[in-house]
Amino acid sequence: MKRPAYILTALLVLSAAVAVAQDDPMKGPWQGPEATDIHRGKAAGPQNVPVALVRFFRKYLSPVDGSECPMYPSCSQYTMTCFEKHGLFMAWMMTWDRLYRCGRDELELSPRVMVHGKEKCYDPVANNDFWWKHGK
Amino acid sequence: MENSKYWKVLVTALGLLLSVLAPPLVHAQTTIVIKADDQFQFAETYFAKGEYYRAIGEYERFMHFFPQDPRVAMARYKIGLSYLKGARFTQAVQSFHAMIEECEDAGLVMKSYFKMSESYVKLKQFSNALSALDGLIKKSSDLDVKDKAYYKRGWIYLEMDQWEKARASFDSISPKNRDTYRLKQLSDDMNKKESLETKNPATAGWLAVVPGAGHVYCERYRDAFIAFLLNGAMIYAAYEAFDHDNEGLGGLIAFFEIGLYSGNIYSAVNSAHKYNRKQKRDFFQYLKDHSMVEASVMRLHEGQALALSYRITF
Repeated sequence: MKRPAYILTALLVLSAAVAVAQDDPMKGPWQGPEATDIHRGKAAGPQNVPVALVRFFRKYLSPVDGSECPMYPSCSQYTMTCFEKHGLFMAWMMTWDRLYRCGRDELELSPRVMVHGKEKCYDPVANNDFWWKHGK
Repeated sequence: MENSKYWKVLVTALGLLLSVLAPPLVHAQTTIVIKADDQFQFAETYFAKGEYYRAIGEYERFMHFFPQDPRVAMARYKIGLSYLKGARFTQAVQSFHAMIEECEDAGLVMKSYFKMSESYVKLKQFSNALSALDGLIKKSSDLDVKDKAYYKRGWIYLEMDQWEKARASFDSISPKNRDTYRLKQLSDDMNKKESLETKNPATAGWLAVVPGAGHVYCERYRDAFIAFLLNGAMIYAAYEAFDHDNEGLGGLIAFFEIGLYSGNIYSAVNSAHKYNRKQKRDFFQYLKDHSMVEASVMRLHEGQALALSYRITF
């Protein structure tokens, strides 16, 4: 009886790793190259609650859970971006979509990026909402 | 007492000695005179080494100290190129735009149009990239330049996944340059797009009514397995909870299962779209590797000539 609850908890305990690491072709004391697909949104409305929960997870649970998300952005970061960008309903679905894909077939299908010296699978929100958000 | 007098005399004597010796020492320093050639060459060295940040500084120094030099326009163009190669595309656009507005060298203005368009493509601002090339086509009377612009425009349309417009742009190239741009081969390669295997997102979505089936359709077998397993487990757990009159737990599990189930459908449709996009991108890359001709109009002393290179991939 309690097993589903354990599975659920295990699903929610996601690792997080946020980093930006890119080689700068300019070779100057500037910041990294211009990002063209990074969304910078602000949470507003009911999505504040899940975002706060994910923030709590990232701050207190992720550092001690022992695992690290193989994706970039990490699942927790991805979830926050979804809530900020698409609101409660779509973000809820997109979060589960990401959890299905995390660490499985996506690793072989998406490009790799180096983040803090570690190879990660690049899977931003923009790669998963392009067909309804920005048109094909 | 006598000791402090002695020190005062010694310090005064040293001060005098230094004041006498200092001017000749200063004059003994080497004076370096930098000529325009040296300064420009120095900037070029940085540019050639890929040190674009430093190259920009040196080109600007050249322009500041030698404003009358005939290479000032070239230095400005090289600053734009440095921004482009250094992946500072917004600054590159501004730089090339200023060149187009202010430069009197027609050759550099023409090159700036192409590079501005390239910078816009890097920024994914395709309509601006097209506008830049349209502006060049309107402005230039040189057939080779126009053809190159039509060719580049066609490739931008291909990147935008607008194949008919791409064809129309390639068709605008004059008969004189059709062979040099290998348009026949390009057209044949473009026709291969029809045989690309794609997945129907609607089919994937409907199949996902059975959790995991949509993923199988999109050839994501591990995702399919986990979708089937998780949904099966959650549905079973919810059933058991309700069956044992534990509505609270049942409701909670059902709430998460709704997310899991709808996420499974979204994931299947998403996978189909991503599959199709990957197929298109791979095909576009194949086209670029096999059919793209790198064209550059080089200014010669006598006039202009079309220089072409063809990339061969092994």
